[in-house]
Amino acid sequence: MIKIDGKEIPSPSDYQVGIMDISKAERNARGDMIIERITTKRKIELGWKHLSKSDLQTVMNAVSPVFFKVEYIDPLNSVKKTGTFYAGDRNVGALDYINGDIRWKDIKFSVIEK
Amino acid sequence: MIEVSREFKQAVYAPIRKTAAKVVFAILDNGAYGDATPSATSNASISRILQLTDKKREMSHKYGTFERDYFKLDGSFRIPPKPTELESDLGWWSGEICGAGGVFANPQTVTLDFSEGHNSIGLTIIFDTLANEYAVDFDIFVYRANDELIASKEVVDNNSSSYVWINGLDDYNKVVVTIKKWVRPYRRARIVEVDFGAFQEYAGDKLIKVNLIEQMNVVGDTLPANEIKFVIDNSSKEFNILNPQGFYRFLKERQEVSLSIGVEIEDDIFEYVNMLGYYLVDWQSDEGALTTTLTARNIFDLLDKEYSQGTVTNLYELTEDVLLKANVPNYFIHPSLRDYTTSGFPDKVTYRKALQCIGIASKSALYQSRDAKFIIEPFVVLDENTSYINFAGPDMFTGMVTPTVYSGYDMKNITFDNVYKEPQINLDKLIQTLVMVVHSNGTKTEYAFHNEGVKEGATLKCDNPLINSLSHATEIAKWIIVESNLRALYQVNWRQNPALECGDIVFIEDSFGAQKQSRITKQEYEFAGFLSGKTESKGGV
Repeated sequence: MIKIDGKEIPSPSDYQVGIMDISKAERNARGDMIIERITTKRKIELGWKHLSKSDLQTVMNAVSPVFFKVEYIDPLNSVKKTGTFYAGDRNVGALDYINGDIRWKDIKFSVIEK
Repeated sequence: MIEVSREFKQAVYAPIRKTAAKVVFAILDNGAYGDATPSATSNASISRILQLTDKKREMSHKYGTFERDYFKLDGSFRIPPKPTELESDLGWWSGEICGAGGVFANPQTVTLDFSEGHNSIGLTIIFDTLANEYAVDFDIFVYRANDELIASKEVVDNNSSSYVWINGLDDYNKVVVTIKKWVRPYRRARIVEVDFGAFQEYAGDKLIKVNLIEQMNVVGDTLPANEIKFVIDNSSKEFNILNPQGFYRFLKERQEVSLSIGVEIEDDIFEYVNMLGYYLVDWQSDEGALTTTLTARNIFDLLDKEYSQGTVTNLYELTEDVLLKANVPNYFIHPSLRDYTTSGFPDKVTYRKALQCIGIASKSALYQSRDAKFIIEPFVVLDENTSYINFAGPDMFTGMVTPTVYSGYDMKNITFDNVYKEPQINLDKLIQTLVMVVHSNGTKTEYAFHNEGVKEGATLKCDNPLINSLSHATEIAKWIIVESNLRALYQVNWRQNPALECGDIVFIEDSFGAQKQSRITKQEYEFAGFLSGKTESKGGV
């Protein structure tokens, strides 16, 4: 479903795509809003209920560079699109820790288009 | 005002708009153009091989010849020009025609010889861009003196009518281009231009910020130069001084720069207004940032050199003499300047000062148009063409009839809809007395002219060596006094419109509904992801 720098990552259980209009909006001398549209960017929120240690490592390594290419399904026309993104804060919860082995749950982060 | 499409006119003042900018600058060895001597293995009878280095990068038209399946009768082709029609640009056309597979039985070679060594960041070869035809397989060889080969490139499967070869070339004396295969069968090889360097385009993510200032001085003691300042992304370190592969060592003054500002008229389709004719004057890598700032100014900045006058009899001839000696080949001088007789300047002046004196002596505007043409024409002529009151209003559709009226009506109306704050209006000083100095037979005589009805005001002196009679002085004095009485200085911060130019007469809305006309004297454009700017204009109270 999602490729980062050409490599498939595990399909997320939570996938939210935000479409952000980057604009400079200011009111004119009549008091009406005028908008200078700079560009439109995507913000993709990804979440996994559970990931194995190796899958988590794959995901974390994939988003560790400053910028990376993401192939994703765009909600505008439901086709695959590629863009350059960076990652926001990564949050990972622990499910349990038994006999020195940790299991992970609720992995969440956003990738934001450059 | 620059003529733009109806879609542009709607988009530029739309409540939500999207704009774009791109800067193209040349990194060329300008000295190589005049020094190049071109020759070729064969020439068609219509070939104009000397045009290979004339900096005209497109043929004047598509010219119909009897090459197989070439001359379409769709109105897009013209009959080739006669040898006497010198203004047509064709470039080089080979004498031989390629075979069925596009391959030339004898590879066609163009050679450019130079009398001295030249340095450039590479070479750009422009084939027939109008017909979108080009060499597919060709070789480039670059030699130093004594035919020492210093670089070569074998190009295979080229698919563009403009080929850019980036490769630092130092101290070369000869360039040879050998064309082996053309994109279509049964064609002559055609090269319109060989550029000694490359063109860099900066737009989108690579262009951080660009600022353009355009100015026109009506009655003043300076002839201002327009300026483009742009900041580009240098994260690739192309502009770092110590980078041996970088552009820095090839950057020279007087490199051509152009700016285009566009407005989105459909999804991801921008219509651009081009501002040509700027020359690089300064560049620096910004400390602590991965950016480089470059500054370019128009031709006026290059005119601060001493002018050596020839024999002239009127202001037209004088202007032409100044421009030709200042190496400004692209100009328009209004014929009415012939009506002013003069023998020119008694003392040495700079080109810039000379032009400024001519402007005042002929009551003319001096400016560089957006297509890089130097223009001098009387303000009365300029105002006739740009005055708002000549426009009947926007196009209307009534029944089956569309009245032909000027559709730029709304473009010159700067209303509160597009203005961030109410325009600022200041009053310039009134002139009470104008002292005109008349230069005649080596003597100077001063005459005072008074601004009728003005009891208090400034005294101005106009000492112009081209004013040689009392009648001429009286005419100029009247004009200066009338211009100085237009003393309302409007300053408006707004969204900007790249189609508007200095000299255009506009309406700037104010909260009193005064609806006064004013002439634009300064345009500032700033693009940093979006377009904004400032307009200054001068009009009556």
